[in-house]
Amino acid sequence: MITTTNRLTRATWAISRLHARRTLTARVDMISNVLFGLLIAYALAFLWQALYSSNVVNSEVTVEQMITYAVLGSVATTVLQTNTVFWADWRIRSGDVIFDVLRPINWQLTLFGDYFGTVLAQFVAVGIPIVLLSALFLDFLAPASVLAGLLFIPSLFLGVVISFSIVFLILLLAFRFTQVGGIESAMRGFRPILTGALVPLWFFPDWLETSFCALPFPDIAFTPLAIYVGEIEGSDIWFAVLRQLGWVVALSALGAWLAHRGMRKLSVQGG
Amino acid sequence: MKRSIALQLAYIKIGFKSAIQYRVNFIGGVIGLLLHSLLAAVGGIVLIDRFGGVVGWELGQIMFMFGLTRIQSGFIYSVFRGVVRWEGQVREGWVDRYLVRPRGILAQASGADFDIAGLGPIIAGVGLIIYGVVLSPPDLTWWLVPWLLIVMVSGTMIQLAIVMVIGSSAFYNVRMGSATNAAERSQWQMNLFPASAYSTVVQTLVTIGLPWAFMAFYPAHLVYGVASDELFGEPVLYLAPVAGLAAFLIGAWSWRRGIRSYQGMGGV
Amino acid sequence: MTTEESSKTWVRANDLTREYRVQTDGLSTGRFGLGLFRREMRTVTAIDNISFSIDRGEAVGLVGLNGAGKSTLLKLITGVLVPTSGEVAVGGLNPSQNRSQVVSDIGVVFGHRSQLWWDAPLVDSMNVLKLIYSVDEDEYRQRLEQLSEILELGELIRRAPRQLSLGQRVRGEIMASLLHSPKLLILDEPTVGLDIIAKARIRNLIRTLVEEEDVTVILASHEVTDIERVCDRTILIDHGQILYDGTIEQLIATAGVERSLVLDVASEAGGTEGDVSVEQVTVPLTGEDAASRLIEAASAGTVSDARVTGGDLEVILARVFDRAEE
Repeated sequence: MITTTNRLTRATWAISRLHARRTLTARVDMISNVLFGLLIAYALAFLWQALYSSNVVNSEVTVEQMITYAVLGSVATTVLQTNTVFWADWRIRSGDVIFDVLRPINWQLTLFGDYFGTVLAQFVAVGIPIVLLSALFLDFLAPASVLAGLLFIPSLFLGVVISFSIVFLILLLAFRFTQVGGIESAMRGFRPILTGALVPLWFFPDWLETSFCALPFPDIAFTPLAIYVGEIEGSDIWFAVLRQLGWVVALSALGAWLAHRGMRKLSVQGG
Repeated sequence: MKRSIALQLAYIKIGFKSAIQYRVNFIGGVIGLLLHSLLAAVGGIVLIDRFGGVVGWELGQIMFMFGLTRIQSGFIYSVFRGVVRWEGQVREGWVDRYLVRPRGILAQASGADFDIAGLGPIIAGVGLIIYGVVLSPPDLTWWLVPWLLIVMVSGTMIQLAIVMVIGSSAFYNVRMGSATNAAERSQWQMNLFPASAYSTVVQTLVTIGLPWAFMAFYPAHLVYGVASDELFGEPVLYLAPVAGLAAFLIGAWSWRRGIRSYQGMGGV
Repeated sequence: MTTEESSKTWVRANDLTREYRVQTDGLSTGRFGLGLFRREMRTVTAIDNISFSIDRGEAVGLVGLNGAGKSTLLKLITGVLVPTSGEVAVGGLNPSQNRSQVVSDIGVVFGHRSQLWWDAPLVDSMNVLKLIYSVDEDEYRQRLEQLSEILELGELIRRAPRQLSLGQRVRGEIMASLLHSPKLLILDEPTVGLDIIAKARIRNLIRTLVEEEDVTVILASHEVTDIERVCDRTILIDHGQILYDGTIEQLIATAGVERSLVLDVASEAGGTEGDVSVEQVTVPLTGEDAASRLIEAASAGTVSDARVTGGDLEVILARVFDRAEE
């Protein structure tokens, strides 16, 4: 049992490294992502400044917190976007997916390795430069508390896993409908809004905030970001991370079950 | 010219026929991109409502501007979709096939990958413009409609030019698919709010460097009878077509250079 | 080009050379991704100073191993690539300078790549190609009918490539490349991935086209049989140079391979009744006494089997390439 887990972890990590390296070789992609991510980070930071200075603000969140949130939100949107669905969708359509499925490692785990490796590379090569270059001229705050600082990273990681689980579910639609590129394109548009990366959920009217929170999306970016800036505090942090864990388990299990059914269909059709 | 239009129409027809083969993806694509524009608008509405306007612009006016930019993006997603995913086309060896045909590469590249999903943002854009007009009615003048049509064309050219400049790097065997996405993502986020809200530095950037502010922000001044922009004064309000043309020329130049270089140093 | 050029010449290359600058290490990012700023380039010569000419109506096979320069040569002829030095002309025009004029008269089939719309009926693809090549409506109708007859496509043109077998799809590709009645047809590995029957069918079709269409054909293939069946002339390239240019018969002669008849001759051997031994006798088919030797060998017993060896182009090419290696 331990050796199997060990083997799978190492295999997944090897796949992640491969995709991380692949991502890093795309220089134009990396540099443009830093530049466009910075543009959005600065633009939103200035927007918050403008909004806070020219209007009566009925919010307990400070402008510095909002600037920090804007920078991290831009990082989240930039870093979480990968081509995993497009590649895998093509492999399903062309029938090449059979090679992925025949490997002695779970297909879901293979794709997670792909997604995680890409996101990790983008986090290091794009996310961190955006944060550093933003902190240069903007009021970028440190984590709100020691606990927030400690739990921000695990919460972010769980956000990535939830994000992947949703990507995986979209991909599984491909077994039924053959092509899902269009749905993923639309998801790319939804992501900044639904995850709360562009506009934090506390600005939404209560009914909208409640309905968004019933979905897994805010736990991708909003939750870790709100923990960082201190809008989720104290024991609520633990509760939020536990809820993220809950989504991870539920969505992964759903994905695994549907994948299993999808594979059966694949073997019946003969690819 | 007539033949070129006939060719583009044939591309649209065959793209449409291909797309409806995958009905869920087809509907999902159109509805998805439609919902994306609307959802983005909701994000904007929530904020503007909360703060009671952004740097002097009302909700209706801002939605009107955002609607305009969504229609332009819709054209990019559909008619010029092939340029957007140019990296993939280069990788799949389409450049060679285009080069052995007696037509321009850009015309073939854009047509060959027509995607109906662009209809989504166009429908959403029309809806947002109507919403904006109802909330904040513009001055009704005889030149309103012609002006908006000009703006629509020049805004599409601005976006196309940016996609072309990034896309032409694919001719040098460079991966740039994610760069195009990043540009598109920044474009709609920036255009959700008036450019003057982003401070002097960023506003200058989206006026001169990436002229997104000409897609709707400056032209909308005229629509709402705003006399001049605080930063760039009055002339900038009329410059959308000039900006569109200039951007397109730069895009075409970089595209042409890319093709030349490809013919000179393509892969084995 | 030059005045002394024969009016029959359609494709001509003079001292054609093509080099590439390639990155030595594509995937390495170096430690900590520092390779982001590192680039090492070197020059590779894909086509090395070659000259040849092809007449109108000729069918020429282009043979070479992987990386020999076949594809590069085809790209130079079609104007996709510009030569590093030397010149190439198609119908007297420089293809990269008069791209749109030259390619109007060229049809290309890439065996590995499709020019058809995967999810739309074949006839829709043809309709787009009609507009791309500015083919007249009447001419188009006539042509479509004629080609679907020659290529035996019939009702298949109402189907999408997605629903066709590979062999049918290749016929669709050939149709697409001939729709505008090109004077030059370039086929790059047209039979790749096909089964034997489909291959034979495609070869016969191409041969028919060569005879009926008055089209100049350049066929690049790994598949020696393709060339043998379709082409009058073979150009062998290796490391970017022409190793041989001439007819296949001449090639067999120059390669120094003799054609021989191998006979399995059964004769009653030894004392025991019914004990048959089979002997293999090889009789060279060249020389003055070939006939008498053949009779002699055959009358030694009962001939149970006979086959010709040595004429195989496969073997000849292997020999020529081997020699070139040395």
